[in-house]
Amino acid sequence: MIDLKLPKKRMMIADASKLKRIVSFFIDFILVQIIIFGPFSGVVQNQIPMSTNFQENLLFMEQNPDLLYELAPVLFTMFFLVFAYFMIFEYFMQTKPGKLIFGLKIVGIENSKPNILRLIARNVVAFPVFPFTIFWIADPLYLIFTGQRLIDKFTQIKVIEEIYV
Amino acid sequence: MNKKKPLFIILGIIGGFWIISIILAAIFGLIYSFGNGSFNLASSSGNVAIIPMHGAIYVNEPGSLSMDGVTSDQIIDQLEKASNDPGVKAIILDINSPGGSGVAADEISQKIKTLEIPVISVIRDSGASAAYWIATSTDKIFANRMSLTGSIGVVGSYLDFSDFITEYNVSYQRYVSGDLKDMGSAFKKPSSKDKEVFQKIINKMNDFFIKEVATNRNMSVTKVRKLATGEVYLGIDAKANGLIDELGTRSDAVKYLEIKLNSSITPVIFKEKKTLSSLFELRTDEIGKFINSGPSFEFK
Repeated sequence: MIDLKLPKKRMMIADASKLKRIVSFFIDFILVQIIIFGPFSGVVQNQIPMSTNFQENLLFMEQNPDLLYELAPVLFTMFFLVFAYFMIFEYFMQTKPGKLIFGLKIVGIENSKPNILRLIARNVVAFPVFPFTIFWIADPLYLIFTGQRLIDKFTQIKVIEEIYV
Repeated sequence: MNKKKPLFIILGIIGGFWIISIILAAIFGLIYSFGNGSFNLASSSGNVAIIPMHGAIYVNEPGSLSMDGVTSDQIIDQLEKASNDPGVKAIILDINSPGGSGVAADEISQKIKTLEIPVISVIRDSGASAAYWIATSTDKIFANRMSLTGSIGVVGSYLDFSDFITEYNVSYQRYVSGDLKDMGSAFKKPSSKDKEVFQKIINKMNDFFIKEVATNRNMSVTKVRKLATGEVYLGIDAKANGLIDELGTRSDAVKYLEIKLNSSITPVIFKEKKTLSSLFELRTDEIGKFINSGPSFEFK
């Protein structure tokens, strides 16, 4: 085989683009809906009559704290699964399916493999408990304006993309 | 850095989580149907009681071979609990039922009429036949424009096994004190007299149904009879025919009650707890009963 001695591909690391992050977030969000929330939806819906959408369910549960208390084990399990799902992907693969499509990678601030404690802190916000729920609103907003999640700023984690030239 | 993540690992993780979720959801589903986790929120934590009436309506508890359903006793019990709760100012009957027993419908309907607090019904996917009968006895009926409602009529049926047993050289030995004593037996062909009597019963039950709807809905018997072809009406057509009051959802029902009661609404579910034993009520005699149950007349 003739060695053409072509120059090697050079890789550049850059902060992930805002658009790619948003789209990959939605892909991961839809996947979680299908894989984890989907199987549980029947269990939850069976206990909330007359619910027609998520917002109504939420309102209903707010108005019926006993119901929330009864459903707590299911909700905790659901969100624990979400947490474990994110953790496994992020710790072992440094990415998630949505991010993988766009070649995005989760790294520490020094471009190294992120520390597990930082990843736990990053993903614990999935639990629907105050004050984590603040991040449910703050994170996407911060991402839209700065291209970085607020929790990433706190946990010193960043999402990068590898560009080969 | 450029290593491609093996696709099968990713699919494995996704598939693994999906399977775990399904298993855990099934376990939770079972736990809740056992009753330990099912909700009986009958308390003063809300001011509007929601009583779900989902599935076929029976007089007795449906057996495990039957579909899910409710009994008139269960609904009446919840109606009583709600009306005796001083915090409850109104009741919403959450209907999603294809119908059921005429007697059960009448029992529930009569109970609703004795209540002093407003009762309104919201028809979801379906509120047909016996379920519609019950809905007519409430103060107002809300239904989605696509809800299936109406179906005013009676159906009676049973399986005729007479040819089947003949084929297997089994004969039906008949000893009766009167010709009609074994009418409806699954092991003999119905006589013309049997058929005539059955039809008379059905017609009479249908008359009760029609008169009840006419009285409850403040409509003429003639008009109801015209609509009582057994036809299922979509919510939008039911509204046009005066069979329901409003097209709307739960939110509309809540808004209506907020205006009527002049206060904000906090719904609370009134639902009977299932017992652990009820889940294991697989009665082996049910198959026998099913075969030789005789005719059943239902509003479905």
